[in-house]
Amino acid sequence: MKAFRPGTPHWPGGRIGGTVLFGIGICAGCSLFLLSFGSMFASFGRLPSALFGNAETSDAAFVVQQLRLPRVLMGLLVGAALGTAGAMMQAITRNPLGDPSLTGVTGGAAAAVVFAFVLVGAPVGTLLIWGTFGGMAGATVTFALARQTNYSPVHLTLAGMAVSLFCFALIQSFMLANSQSLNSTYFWLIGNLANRTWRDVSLVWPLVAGGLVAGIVFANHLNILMFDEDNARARGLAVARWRLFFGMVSVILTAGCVATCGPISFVGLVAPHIARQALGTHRAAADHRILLPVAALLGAAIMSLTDTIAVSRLLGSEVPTGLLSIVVGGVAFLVLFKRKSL
Amino acid sequence: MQGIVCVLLAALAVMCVPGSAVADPYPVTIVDDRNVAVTIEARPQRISSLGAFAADMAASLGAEPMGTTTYNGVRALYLGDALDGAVDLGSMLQPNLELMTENRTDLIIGMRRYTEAHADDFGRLAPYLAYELLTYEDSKRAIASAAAAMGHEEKGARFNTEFEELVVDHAAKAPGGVSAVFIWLWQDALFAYYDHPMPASFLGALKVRNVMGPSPNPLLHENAGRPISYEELLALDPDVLMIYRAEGNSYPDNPALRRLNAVRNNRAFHVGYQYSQPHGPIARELVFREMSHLFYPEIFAKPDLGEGIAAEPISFEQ
Repeated sequence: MKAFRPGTPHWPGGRIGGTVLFGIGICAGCSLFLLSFGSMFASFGRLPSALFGNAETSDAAFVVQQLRLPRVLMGLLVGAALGTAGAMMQAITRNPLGDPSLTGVTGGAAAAVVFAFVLVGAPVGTLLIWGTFGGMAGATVTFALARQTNYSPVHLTLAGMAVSLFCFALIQSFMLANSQSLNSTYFWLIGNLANRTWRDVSLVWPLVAGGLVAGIVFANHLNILMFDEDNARARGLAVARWRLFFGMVSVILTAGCVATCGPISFVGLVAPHIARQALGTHRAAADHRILLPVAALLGAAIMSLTDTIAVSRLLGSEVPTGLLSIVVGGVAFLVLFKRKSL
Repeated sequence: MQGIVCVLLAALAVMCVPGSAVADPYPVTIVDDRNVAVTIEARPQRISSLGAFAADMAASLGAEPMGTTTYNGVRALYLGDALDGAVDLGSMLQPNLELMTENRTDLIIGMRRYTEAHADDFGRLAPYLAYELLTYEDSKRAIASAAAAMGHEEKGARFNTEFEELVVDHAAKAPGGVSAVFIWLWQDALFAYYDHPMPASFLGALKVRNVMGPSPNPLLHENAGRPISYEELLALDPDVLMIYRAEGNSYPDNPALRRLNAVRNNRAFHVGYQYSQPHGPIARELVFREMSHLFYPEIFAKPDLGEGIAAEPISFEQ
């Protein structure tokens, strides 16, 4: 694929710059709001002293540093991870409806967490470990099933769907096996950024950072994977190996997020499409070296915006972020669909 | 079973014996909280308790229910051996109709919001009574009504009168100046009660300020409370925190919980099953006496409730 470089006639610098500025603006504005407004205090003016104050002695400092900041960071991390993973999955499955759940990671992580919580009685603090390993296991089964066809897009999609459906059937079985935990499981399955702590951030950020770097560094291979298989091979690409690579990067990006926040829907599906739409019809929209970071930024912006609406009490009281992400993502999806951008 | 539960059961059972021997009021017609008139032809011997209320009611009258449902898979532990012979009817939301048929149930009593959907099915098996069971007024009305259905109308009235006297007595002794909140915990999600549902309604009677206050939509009877964030709980910072966690597991080690004054002062408690369905005569009194002690330990003695029933200081997962 022809490379785009700054200064070349094909380089859509203004469009990219505008999109990046827009994404950063949404993230910054929402983060500022989320850090400044809440039950303990609601004021932009008090934020600086709360942000740098002593959390031991000041309630405002404690709230900002221990409750609001981890939540803001988790929203940015989860959004960026899901946006990037979604773009990768849409590329390797060559399916515009691709999202991270197609690797089986979401279903695997959710099934493992519900199993741990409902049948093992595992403490809340260990669910992240269960979820991460469950997500890896779900993805491993998906890729093992698709291996016989060299991870062809169709088989990968079907295998992912089969594993996801199986995992969600398992979840129902676990819940039926021990109805004592129905409400707790239900709350977790909605997905939420509330009540996340620094412990969650510290466990998730290395996975997300590693996945983002790996994806962006090798993004040019995704461009080649977008060609048909023969064409990609003719360009010297080990197609199966790179599909597996990007699938696993998608798993790494997603597993920790699902394990900590529950299944967050639509962000992974919608963020890449909004990124393409923002980048316009220019060929840069298909260049994953540009698309991946933009999808990550817009994924983070969508999650931040969703969480801002969730805590703003516009809907009467705070609602789970996962519930709103379905609404926001679903509406965005319908708009894109109406504009025939999919 | 030791302690106050045993004494209560024995006392209530003794009280009801002469009544049952004196008169047979049947057939009786009861108007339940659906405003449906239900006629019961003969003294019920095989009561199906959909929820803890009817089991509590039967135990307080010296009887044993034929069967009882469980809440989240758990029986009403506070009723102890009074339920030893009762059949497990499964979930309150979907009680086992086959077991109810097989055991020839002759009266079905349940919480309206969870059981009314099956009213037609129940009606084919036996008379079915549904009660709201949310507020203190609901409790008084249901106790009077269910006692009449079980042939002990005067006992129902007496339970209510005696409890009212207990409330007045404690209210007179309670000094006030305490704030509290009652919370349900699901995984790490908090749901806090407004003033009107029992047991939160007891706070006002004991001069305790419920930091959640009244419902903003008093016309919505079912609007018992709302989810709150850890930050909001920290901002409200009640003196006493009562948490009911129905679904096992330990408490999430969230830094906001540890910072609460109630936790720092060892006044954050995990409360027992009876707080989840407190509307029967036994649960109601246990809850009220224990809450009185939790708010004013220097004035009201700690009730002897036994392990798993009595409130315990919350301990966080490591």
